[in-house]
Amino acid sequence: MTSLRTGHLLLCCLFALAKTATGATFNQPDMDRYESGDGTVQLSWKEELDRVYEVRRSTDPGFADSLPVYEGPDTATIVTGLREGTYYFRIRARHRGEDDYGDWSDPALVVTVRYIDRRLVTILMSAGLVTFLAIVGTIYTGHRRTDSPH
Amino acid sequence: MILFPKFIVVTLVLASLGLTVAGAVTLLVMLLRDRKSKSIW
Amino acid sequence: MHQQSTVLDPNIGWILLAIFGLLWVALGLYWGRKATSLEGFMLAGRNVGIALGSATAMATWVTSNTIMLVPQFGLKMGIWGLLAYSTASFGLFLFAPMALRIRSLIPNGYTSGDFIRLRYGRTAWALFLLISFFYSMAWLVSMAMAGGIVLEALSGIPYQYGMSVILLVCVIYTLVGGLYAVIGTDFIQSMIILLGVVIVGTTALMNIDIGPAYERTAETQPALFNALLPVALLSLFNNMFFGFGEVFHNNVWWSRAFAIRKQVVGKAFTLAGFLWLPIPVAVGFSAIFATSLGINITDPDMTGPLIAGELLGSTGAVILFVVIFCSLGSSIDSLLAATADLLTEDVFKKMFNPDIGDNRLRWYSKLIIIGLGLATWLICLPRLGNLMTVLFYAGPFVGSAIWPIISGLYWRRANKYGAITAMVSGSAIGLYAYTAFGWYTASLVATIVSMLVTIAFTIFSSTRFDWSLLNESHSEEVS
Repeated sequence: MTSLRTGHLLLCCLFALAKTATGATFNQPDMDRYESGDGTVQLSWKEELDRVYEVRRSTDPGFADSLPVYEGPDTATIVTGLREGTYYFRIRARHRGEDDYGDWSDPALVVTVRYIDRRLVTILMSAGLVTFLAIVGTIYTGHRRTDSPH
Repeated sequence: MILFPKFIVVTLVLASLGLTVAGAVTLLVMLLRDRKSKSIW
Repeated sequence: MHQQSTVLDPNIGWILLAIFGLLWVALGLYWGRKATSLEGFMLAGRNVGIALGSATAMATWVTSNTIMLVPQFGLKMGIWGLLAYSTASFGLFLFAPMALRIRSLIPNGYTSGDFIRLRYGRTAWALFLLISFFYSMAWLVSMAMAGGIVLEALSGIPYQYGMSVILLVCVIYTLVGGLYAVIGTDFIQSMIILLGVVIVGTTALMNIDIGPAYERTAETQPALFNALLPVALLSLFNNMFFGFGEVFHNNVWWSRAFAIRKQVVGKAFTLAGFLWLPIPVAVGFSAIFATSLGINITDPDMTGPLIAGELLGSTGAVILFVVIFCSLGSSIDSLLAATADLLTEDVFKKMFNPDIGDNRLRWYSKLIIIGLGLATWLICLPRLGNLMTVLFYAGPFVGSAIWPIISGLYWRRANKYGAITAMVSGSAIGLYAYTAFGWYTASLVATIVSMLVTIAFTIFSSTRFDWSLLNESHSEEVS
């Protein structure tokens, strides 16, 4: 598979008008590690003329049960609302007007979603709630006490 | 994770649009009332 | 990027700017004739009714951030992101009783500075003015920059031109019309904002079959409906206290407390709170269902415009453009007027020229408005991206002012040592928290520190403040 794709890429370079199937890859600096603290993943990929891209995601490295992320001519998308866990993304492209897609990008982009430490959130929420109640209480009791005709 | 149930989400969305409309109407009504009592400003 | 580069044609953008810009200036000239005195110019005769009063409070608090950031919050943090944003309205609700108290205590007051000076003395006053001016400039600069950036993104109008036009229009009609122009245009702008939100929101709703959309989104993007989303809860109270600090301390809100008729001032702020409350959900819910709408978000910063454009085509783009221009105008004009008031009344007059007459002072206040506009323009011109984030640094400063203000309004025992220490320690430790722990702790920490200091100083206080000292016709000052 890999040597076939390399061959295709070479052909593309040599014959700009050649209508061979194309490869597509994500613009990510480090293909191995990508962490998300809030369940969102911003993806972008290289733009090429007249291409239609397909991006899919899966929780399985073999993409057995994959979900569609995007299909169309744009060169970026954002995935949001992911639960905690590990996700795999891959992309492929085809010429507009043709049916045959090129190969999937390889290796897949691996994203680990891990939310902020729960204890930190609990501490901040508790401190915030107490302060909030104190502020509201001060204004409310102050208002009750002082809101009388002079 | 615990999810907001569907009826809550639907209620929130409809309520937000409804409240916005109600707000705009209230402002106009208030303006007309102020105008009648000559107390706009 | 495959997406079309702008949502709206630049020529249409220019036409819209021209139409509304000229409208605001014309109204400014027309309503400005009512301002026959300094009090008229700065405080619209202290008699603004509930309709205009509520509208101005709501419109000023709807900024271009509200229209542009909220869809991002919805996209990334779902329902909780929008609910968290809604808590910004709480500041308006809480300011309602405070406004009543302010009018009772300081019937002849002009600015928030007047209160701090009379309540806590000149040192606290100077410190407070510094905090207030820093925050006001940060907000003004970030609004003007955001305006230029958004208009360029929406219509291709170059940043320098868009930013300059917005500032110029706001400076002109604030200059010629004072608070009458500001409040009058705020009413029209608030109606346009509400109308725009309803149109886009209703169109989105008609295009989403919510039942199936919910099921689908809950399957593939469940965190958007997470009832306890950590990333949203993390900054919930921090942002809330930033908001409280902004509303409780800033002369934008105090000047409205003085300008709105006393009998309705409390109701006006409460109504403003209710007007503002639904806006985040109404503006942002379509972003949660963007995938169900078949809209691909390529750039989260452009979530709002992308959705409006997809749903309503160029009409949607026009609506969004106008709504954003209105939200910018309604905030910038208020900031210009209120900050100029603070500089004019507190610094120029009370610090340096106590005997100056009202007519001459009115002339100087106009110079100061121009000066503020010019300074903002010069700072914004080079488009330094980091300037947008300066506003976040203001969080601990304004957060530290919450407790000195509320304790000063309601507790006789609150004293100047507590107030000064609270503002200094809250700001300092809050700033430290910003750098050491993260932005989402800064205002929270500042408020908590300020609270503890204020309470400690109050408990051990020997002060029993005489409220009548705030009524300046008694002309006494706390030394």
